[in-house]
Amino acid sequence: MNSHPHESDPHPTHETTHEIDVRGLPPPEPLMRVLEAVATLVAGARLVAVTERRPLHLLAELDARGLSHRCEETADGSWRTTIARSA
Amino acid sequence: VADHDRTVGVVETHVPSSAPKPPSPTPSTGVALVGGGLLPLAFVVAALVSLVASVGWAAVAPDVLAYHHLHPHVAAHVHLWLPGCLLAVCIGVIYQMMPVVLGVALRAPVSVPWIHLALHFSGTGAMVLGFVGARFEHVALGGAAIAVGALLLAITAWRTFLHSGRRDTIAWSFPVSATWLFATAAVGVFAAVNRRWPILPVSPVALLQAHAHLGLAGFFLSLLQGATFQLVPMFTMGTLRRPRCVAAGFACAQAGLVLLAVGLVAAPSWFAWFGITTIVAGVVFSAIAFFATLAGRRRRMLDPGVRAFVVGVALLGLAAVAGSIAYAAPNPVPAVTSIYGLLVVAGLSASVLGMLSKIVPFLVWMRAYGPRVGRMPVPAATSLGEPRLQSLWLAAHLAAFALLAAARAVDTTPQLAVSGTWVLLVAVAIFVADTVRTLDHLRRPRTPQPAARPAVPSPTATHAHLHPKSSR
Repeated sequence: MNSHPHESDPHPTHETTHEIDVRGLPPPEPLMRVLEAVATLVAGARLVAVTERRPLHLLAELDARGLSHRCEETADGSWRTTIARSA
Repeated sequence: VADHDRTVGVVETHVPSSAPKPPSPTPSTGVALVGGGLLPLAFVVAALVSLVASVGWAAVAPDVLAYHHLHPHVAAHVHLWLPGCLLAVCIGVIYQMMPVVLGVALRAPVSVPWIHLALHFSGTGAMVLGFVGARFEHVALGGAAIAVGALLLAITAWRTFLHSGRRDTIAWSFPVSATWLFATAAVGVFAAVNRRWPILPVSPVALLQAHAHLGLAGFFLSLLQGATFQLVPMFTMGTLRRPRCVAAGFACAQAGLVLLAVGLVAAPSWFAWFGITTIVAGVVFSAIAFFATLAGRRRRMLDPGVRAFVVGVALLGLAAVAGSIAYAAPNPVPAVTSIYGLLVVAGLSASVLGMLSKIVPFLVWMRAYGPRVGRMPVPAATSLGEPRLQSLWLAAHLAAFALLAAARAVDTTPQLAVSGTWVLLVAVAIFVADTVRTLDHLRRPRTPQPAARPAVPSPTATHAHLHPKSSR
């Protein structure tokens, strides 16, 4: 079933983790898509963003929005950023 | 899964009740937008002012580009284009790009890049006015201001580089090119001082050649041999290919530069020849990696900016050939040397301004719209620039330099050079119009209508369809 970030989980709960893979998109679309997905994130839920590079611009924007995040490089060279909105 | 089969997806999973708590905040390294994005844009705006000053002056005195390449007015034009415009753009890009590439914040107080900006443009102004009035003490003074700015950049680049853990060619290219820039400015200052108050019995032409080649090959080539392999994959959706060729190209160019600089000033000519050959070998290695990287891109259609960059790189290859011919000729042929110079300026302009037409929309978008994403509709970054204007600029730019080169080759009347100058004026006007149009988003951010908003590709578009990977 195809879905959009805004439509994937109309009633997200604190037990939900979303994953968004934005590899293969030109800058700044990865940032745009992740922030749009973050906008739908409810308190306690988490979003994992998979990017080709360390998303430095995204991290700065997450800081500005008061969202906690953890960024890790994976074995294939991509980066996984776990974002959470505090309860 | 092959790269081109990757999808953008939202995968919904459910975390067991024993799942770890949300991640603890990890602050970003504060490197995203240097000076809030305004610093590199300030360099860009000042660079465009310099470019407009050059073509505006050429419009008033259009036959100046038909003069001998050592004429002080030609030197003034060259310095408006190279340090005034192209170098300024590169400096702004280095300050912005280096911390992002290296993953650490600039190791310098916030004021340092702004001081550099002031030094660079006051120095360029003094230098150009010095050339116009043949006052070489003013040239030396302006050059000294540029040299101090270059020293600040070199120190910042080395400190930032040493603080980071990245040690590939892309990372090395920042401090190395900044060091060559300082050397270029220092040699230029010495050439001007030595001309006004002779200190050492060194040929002024040899000093100018060393100054020019340290700047062109030392700074611009070193930077291109590194930054290209960060920017081109990013803007063409590709990956770096042949990294060993990238490293070999950079190493050869560095070795060749040292040999060439020494050979031009002091050593026998075979020393310089050996340097030129080694630099050309380095360029060939880099070209192999560049075209391999380009061939592996996922975005088949090149944007006008990237196309201009590729054309510029090809022109620089032709310039290397023309430069070798000019150096090999037993008696200097001014027309060949002028055409070599024109090819260098045309190629560098096309590549630097082409990449600029990709970078400026990105920086403007990040500053004007980044904080709004997810909160309100925002336009796509690609909609900030106008591709048709960019294509038109490239065509006019190439036509202008073709006319100027033809004028130098046939050299019968100044009319051809005057025509080239006017076409160049049109090209610059188009480029500036497109850039100003983009920059205007900083002053008046737009809010697109949702229906007309192409910001996020349709979920059904290639690479962009969304699908759940797993469920409860």
